[in-house]
Amino acid sequence: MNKVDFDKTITAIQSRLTTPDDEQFIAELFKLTVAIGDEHTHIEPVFTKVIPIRFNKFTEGIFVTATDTNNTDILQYRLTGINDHTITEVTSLFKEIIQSKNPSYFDAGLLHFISNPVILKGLQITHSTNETTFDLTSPDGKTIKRVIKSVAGTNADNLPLVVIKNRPLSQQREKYYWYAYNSGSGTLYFNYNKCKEQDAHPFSAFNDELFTVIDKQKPQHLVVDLRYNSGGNSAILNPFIERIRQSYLNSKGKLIVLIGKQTFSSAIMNAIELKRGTNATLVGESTSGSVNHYGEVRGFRLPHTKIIIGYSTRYWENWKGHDGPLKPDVSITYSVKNYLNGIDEALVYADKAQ
Amino acid sequence: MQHLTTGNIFYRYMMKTTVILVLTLLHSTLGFSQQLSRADYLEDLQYLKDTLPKGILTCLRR
Repeated sequence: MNKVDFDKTITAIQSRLTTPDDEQFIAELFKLTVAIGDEHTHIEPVFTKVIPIRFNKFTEGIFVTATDTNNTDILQYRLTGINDHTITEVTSLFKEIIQSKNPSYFDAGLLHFISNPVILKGLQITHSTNETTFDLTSPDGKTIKRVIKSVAGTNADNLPLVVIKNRPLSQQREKYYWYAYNSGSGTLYFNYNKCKEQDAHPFSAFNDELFTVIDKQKPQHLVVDLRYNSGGNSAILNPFIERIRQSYLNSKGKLIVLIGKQTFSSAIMNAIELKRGTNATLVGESTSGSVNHYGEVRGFRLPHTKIIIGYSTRYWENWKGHDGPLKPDVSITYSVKNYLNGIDEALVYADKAQ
Repeated sequence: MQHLTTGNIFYRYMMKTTVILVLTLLHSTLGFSQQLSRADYLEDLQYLKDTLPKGILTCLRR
């Protein structure tokens, strides 16, 4: 988008704001960010209501994976629509406010905002931010409508919801970085959830612990899971990358790096460094962020609505000539049936990799 | 002429404090639920139009 088109887009928004409210204004600003097309330039409204439900997307569709205590009976149900709009219609409307050129970027945004009552009203999927009617199908094929009241909160990811039992290993802890060793398979699993120092547990100390386990247990595989890492400071992982380069695990089939639709920003830089600087095999789904991208976000606040506008101030060329997201060497698809049994297809691949 | 006794002064002080408290509460309540006008939204949009192209590093600045 050039400056002339930007000005035209602003004028078009002005003409549509005949009787505006917060929901319409927010939706219009989201549409503007789609037109700008830079994945780090974004808006941050102050959301105060959230629908207490979380969804995950699998090959079979979008399923309920967490709810409040009033709605635990709909865990595992498939989402087929919202407020009498089919899921196809809902997806189509969300494409107006989330970039959809990269399916991973779109899916990550859709799953994040689909439980946001302000966004749903702004897209005219619902008429009120107080409650939302979900159309759902049970595992045995029964279709129901469930009205869920909004609660105070900024987003459903932060709510203490009831989750599905037997979740895969990757979902079982919430620290920025942690590991688990499976002596049966000989796989050491290193989950790197956030490119940020954990309070009271510096990464340098964690890194020493991790390599102590490697020296002692001599694992067959090391899995570095970046699938849920949305970024932060890319330099935090450098001590790990430097040491793994010297390790016997730095060989094809032994070092597996998992990427996915939530891998973004600095986490992509780490994945690229591992791909180009070691013998790691990338496994999973394409990342939501592009390899080369605008970043280094700064922001300002709008005077009346207090919405923060974040914008990119630097172009990161991480891999010259590379276009689009980081793609895996080995693609994995995820089934809800396996998820409900605690099976992680990416880890199944890693355990057998040679 | 009204004589200001200690009781009178205290009564006036309490009344004044109560009025200020009620006005403060009323103002904060109204402020919380205050709806923005169309002009407010348009001003925000104009602010965005003026500010974003100055900072953003994309084709908007080229």
